[in-house]
Amino acid sequence: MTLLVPDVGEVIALKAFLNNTAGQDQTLKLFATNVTPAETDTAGTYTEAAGGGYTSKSLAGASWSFTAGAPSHADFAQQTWTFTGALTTNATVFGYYVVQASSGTLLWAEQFTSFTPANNGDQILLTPKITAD
Amino acid sequence: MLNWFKKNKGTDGTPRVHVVTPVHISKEAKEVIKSQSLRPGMWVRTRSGIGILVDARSDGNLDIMLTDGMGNNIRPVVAPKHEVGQALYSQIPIARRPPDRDYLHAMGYI
Repeated sequence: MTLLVPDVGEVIALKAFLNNTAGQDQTLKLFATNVTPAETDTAGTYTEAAGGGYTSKSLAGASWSFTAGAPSHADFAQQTWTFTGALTTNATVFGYYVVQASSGTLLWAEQFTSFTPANNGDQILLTPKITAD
Repeated sequence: MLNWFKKNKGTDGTPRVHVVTPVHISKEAKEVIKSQSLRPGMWVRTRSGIGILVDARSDGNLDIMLTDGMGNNIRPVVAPKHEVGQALYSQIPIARRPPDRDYLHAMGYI
């Protein structure tokens, strides 16, 4: 699957680009419903994982690195979720989504190969990256 | 016989590591999609049902995830681009349909 910036995320990008509204730090979350990101999505589209030692991750704007090129891209350090066992509400993780830390507005989302944490010590490793092309 | 000492781990008892690398749609795929007046992430209708446009192939075929009435995934399909069109407003699953009808109409979901 491919990363998708929905319409609500596009508006935030444009507003920050044009100095209309300042950007915010981000929160990286895993979603636990079997959905494919769509352009009309909002944060409410996704059901966040819960239980099993899961917590969302904070992504500070100042910690991104930026590279000009074709395409230009922004990269963040690898994020690691280490589970203590099974999730509680929905057992399987199907992807991740990123929201603004304060407003909670959806920025982007991506489905990945599903993973069902079951064991103490199971991990998901994700290196956030986004391109502009 | 019950094994009271069995650990709740994988078949070999070793924790598993799932590595995720973000995948971005290619510029070429975007061009294929744009040539059909479509957009990545768009709700589309195909002969197989309603789904979400995910990607495009170099041969012009489109990757689509078919969805159920709740907007959850059913199965991926590959469809010829001439068989794919934008979904109607009423075809977007209610659970995935934003409440702002004017916005959806402006997006071409009539």
